[in-house]
Amino acid sequence: MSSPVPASGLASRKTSASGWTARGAPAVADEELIPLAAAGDRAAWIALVERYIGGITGHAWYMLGDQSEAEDVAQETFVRFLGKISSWELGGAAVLRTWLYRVTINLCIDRHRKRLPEPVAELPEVPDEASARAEEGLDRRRFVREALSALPERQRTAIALIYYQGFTNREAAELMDVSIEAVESLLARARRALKTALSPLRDDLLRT
Amino acid sequence: MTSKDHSMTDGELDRLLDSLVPPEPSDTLRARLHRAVDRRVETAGPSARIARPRPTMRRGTLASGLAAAILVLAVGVGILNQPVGRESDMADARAGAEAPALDRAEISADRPSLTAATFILVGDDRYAEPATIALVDPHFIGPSAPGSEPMRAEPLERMPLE
Repeated sequence: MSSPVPASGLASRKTSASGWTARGAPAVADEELIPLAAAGDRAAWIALVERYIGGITGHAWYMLGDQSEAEDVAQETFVRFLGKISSWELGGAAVLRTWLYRVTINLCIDRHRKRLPEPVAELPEVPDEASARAEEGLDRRRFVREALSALPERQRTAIALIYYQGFTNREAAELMDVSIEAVESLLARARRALKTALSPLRDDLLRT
Repeated sequence: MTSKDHSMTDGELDRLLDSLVPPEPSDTLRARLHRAVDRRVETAGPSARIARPRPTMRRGTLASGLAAAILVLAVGVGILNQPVGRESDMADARAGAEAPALDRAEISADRPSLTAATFILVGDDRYAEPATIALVDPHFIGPSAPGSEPMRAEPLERMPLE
């Protein structure tokens, strides 16, 4: 379950200057890069960072809705990995991609719980049609983000992992420590809630 | 929000979700993470390198110090036991006479062992031999430590003691 290819995610990914992940070149597996990075090989470390930084930061952004906090979480995640890199068990149960996302999820949960009371299934207040049209430059992203932020934590996590990060239901279930059926249920409820939240704006949102 | 309109299709929802693209990680974050491995090497690496050899270095230093002290004593005792002892030298000086020349023949006889001892002491045979010669030739001043070039100096004039 190693990740010989760059992590998925919608965030664009830069090509590493190290050459480890240069486009057109064969990607080097994490298992080869980790021991090199542990030995202080800067290029190997940069390759690992570049492979996952977009996905990790993006996932934190979907979870927290704030870029500054997302970057703090991403930094903390990579620093924790760096602290463990010397004792990283290659071929062990911990696969880097899974480990990074699990840490990110936990850090996001910690931050979200400190920042806000646990959101209930209350959806954001959607402006009526007239006021929405009156608002200059209807920001589709803002409404979608607000609807996503209003989802219960586990539903939001399921959407972020499966829809945005490209994890399978089984991988998401492993990351969230729930059954596959539970993940499927969370995903279905999340999509239903999002449709409910965004349907009043459907015509406006889809016009552009 | 009271709408119960569920008419949005999955495809429409996907289009909306696709519009939500997170910002690119900042260059500041990238730079911090790229430097993290350097800091790890700078902090954990050197401390580990210093911490581990320390007991060995202490033992080595102690052993070297003891060996050097024994050798210095051995060489010193050997020299003092030569016929050119300090007391006779001083007595001759008090008498205003020229100090007797070093018994070069006798020192030369011990030269191999002195050279060997000096070699052990300085750890470099390039300097062991000159150091021994210095005992034989009062005009020769050998180097005291590896790394310095052999030097010759003008002979010191023996000043009569008052």
